[in-house]
Amino acid sequence: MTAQARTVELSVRLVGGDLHRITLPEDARELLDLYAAMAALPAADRLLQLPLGGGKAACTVRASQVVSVVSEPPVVLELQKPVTRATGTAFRLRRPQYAIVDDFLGPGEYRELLALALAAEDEFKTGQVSTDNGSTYKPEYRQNQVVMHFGGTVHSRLLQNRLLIWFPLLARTFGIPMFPLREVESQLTAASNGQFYKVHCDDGPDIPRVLSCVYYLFREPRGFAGGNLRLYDCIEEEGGSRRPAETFTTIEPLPNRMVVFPSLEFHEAMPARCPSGEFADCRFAITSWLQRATVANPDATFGWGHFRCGVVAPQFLDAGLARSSAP
Amino acid sequence: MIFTVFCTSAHPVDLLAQAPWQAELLEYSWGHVRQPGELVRLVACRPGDTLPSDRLARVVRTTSWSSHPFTGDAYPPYDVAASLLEWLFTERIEGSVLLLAQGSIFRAPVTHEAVRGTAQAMAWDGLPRGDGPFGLGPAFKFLDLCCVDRTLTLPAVTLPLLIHSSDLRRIAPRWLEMMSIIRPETNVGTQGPREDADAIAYAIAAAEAGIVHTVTDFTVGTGAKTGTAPILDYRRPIASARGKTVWDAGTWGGGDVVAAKHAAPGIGREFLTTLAEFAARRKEGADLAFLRPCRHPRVREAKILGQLFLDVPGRSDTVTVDASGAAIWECCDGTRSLAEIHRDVEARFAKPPGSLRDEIAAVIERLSNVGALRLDRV
Repeated sequence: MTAQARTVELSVRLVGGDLHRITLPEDARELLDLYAAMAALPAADRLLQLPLGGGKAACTVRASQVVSVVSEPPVVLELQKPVTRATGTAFRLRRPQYAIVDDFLGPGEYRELLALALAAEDEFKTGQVSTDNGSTYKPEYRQNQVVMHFGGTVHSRLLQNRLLIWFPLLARTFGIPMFPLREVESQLTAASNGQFYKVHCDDGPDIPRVLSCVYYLFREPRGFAGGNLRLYDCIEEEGGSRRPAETFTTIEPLPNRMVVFPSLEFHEAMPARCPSGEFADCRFAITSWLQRATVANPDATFGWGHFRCGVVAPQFLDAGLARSSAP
Repeated sequence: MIFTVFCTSAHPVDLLAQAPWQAELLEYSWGHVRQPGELVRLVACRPGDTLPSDRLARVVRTTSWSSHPFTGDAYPPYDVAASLLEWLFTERIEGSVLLLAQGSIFRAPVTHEAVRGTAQAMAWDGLPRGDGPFGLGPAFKFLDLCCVDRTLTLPAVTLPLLIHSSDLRRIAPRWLEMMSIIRPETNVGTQGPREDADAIAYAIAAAEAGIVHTVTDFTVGTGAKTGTAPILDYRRPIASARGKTVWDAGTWGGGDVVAAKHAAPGIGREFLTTLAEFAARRKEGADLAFLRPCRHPRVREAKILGQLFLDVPGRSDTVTVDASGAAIWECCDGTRSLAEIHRDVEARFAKPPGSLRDEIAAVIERLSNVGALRLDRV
């Protein structure tokens, strides 16, 4: 359910016929180096070092000696945009963090929320994006329909209360120390034919969102295709600047599926194709954001009103508490 | 694959905290009946708590939910649901989960797997009945706000529970959530919050998830005359034929065991017999479960084409060990218990937990017999 690096099996054939079989995690630096060197046409004669036998040996070759690489699963490069490295700039390619929780709600709860979404057509407004001057309509950037203040509704509490049960575990999964909650902000969105939301991240200097939680719901059999969530790898450059990479992880919207990721992750809602054009065939999502409070508030209650999440409980204060098996 | 799971707390004052002998006795019975699969001990920890080191069980640290992080309510059953959720989520467990109550040991193996969408558990006659939501009674009116369908029929069950991991993963968060609601909502008047909130919460979560429960006689108590149940519940004191208490889990410190003949005939006598066997083996240190295999320092070894050859001082012949035996040999460094060697070797050969138990024990016994290994007490 959490993002873990898959392994990639490589068969690297060298000039002269030598063939080396190598297994690497998909986020291995050597994998990036290998493909970056191959993609830089004409071949840069860089020195490559590839681990053999799980790192017990190493194969050192010049990039120009590599004839072919067969990988399983396939590693695909967009050759029009070869992987390049700005001269003199150190950077790190980081895979996005995310967790998927399927069957997030009970079947009855799911049906209740879907019925609510289907009945709320008149409440949806055109989605806007935040700018320095407030919210504005930018159709080239975001096209969908939204119920902005869904968080104030009774139905949102159904989702919110369950989310709070998961909150400590999700925070730990992402290595984020538990934080006092300020608010659980929530929107209900509908993506119809051709609608999308381009690459963005949910946090910002004035937006204390820490975790983004997207819950999918739609009528079945589904009346749309596409509408996937893309979580982009992040290029973190020296000096702290960040930008989305060309590579990404795709998450399919499934009914009753919750996808949670740190709000700083670059993500994109891909265009949905909805041939009928009917509102009921939209891909619906309830997006919630757990916001960090700058000042702890022991009196603030959340969910159905039982949970005081405005402060961090003592058992979550020790960030060094590692999950492990006994030695 | 059956994961036998028991939940404990690392915090000594918690009700879930167990005396060391209790976990050891369960492990002994689990190994003795050759229960298939893996034995997992979930330990709810607070900052600074140290994990116990078990012989056969894989010990998994989880974060304590008692006191409840959002309500402050101290209620040990929160730890059960929270530990299960954390374990199932982080380890992506796939298979049957046999969840044991405290004070349980095996009499016979549970070998049948759980089918998705169904579960088996012991009957519980304490489920409140009335005219309120879920047929629980008017005191549960508060559930109208936070439960969508209050007409569902609740399964009146309790531990032990045999359930598929995917179903338990679906139930666990709601189980924890419902406990977190029922406890403060029933904390009215002088009675305090309901002590059975965990069982009621489980019933609601299971019903909402659509998991069909079948009542199964998993357990027999020490007061019974006879029984074929595979699990024995020793929480109640054992009495003599005259009704006098001869043994009580709450007061026994792990020392001398009262002779079984002092108990009235029946399951209590059977338990005392098992306890005496366990205590004797524990005292002798004769069971592999209580030992850490350690390579003899003067053994010389050589590896040729995947085979391991051991030159043991005092022996004229050379001991030959195959590749899997060599992997076991490498693990016998005196720091690992048998459970840890199981885990390491099974992970190395990508085998399901528990599947190599017999083979590993056989290799260790053979290497010990030829003088290549020393068996240190844990």
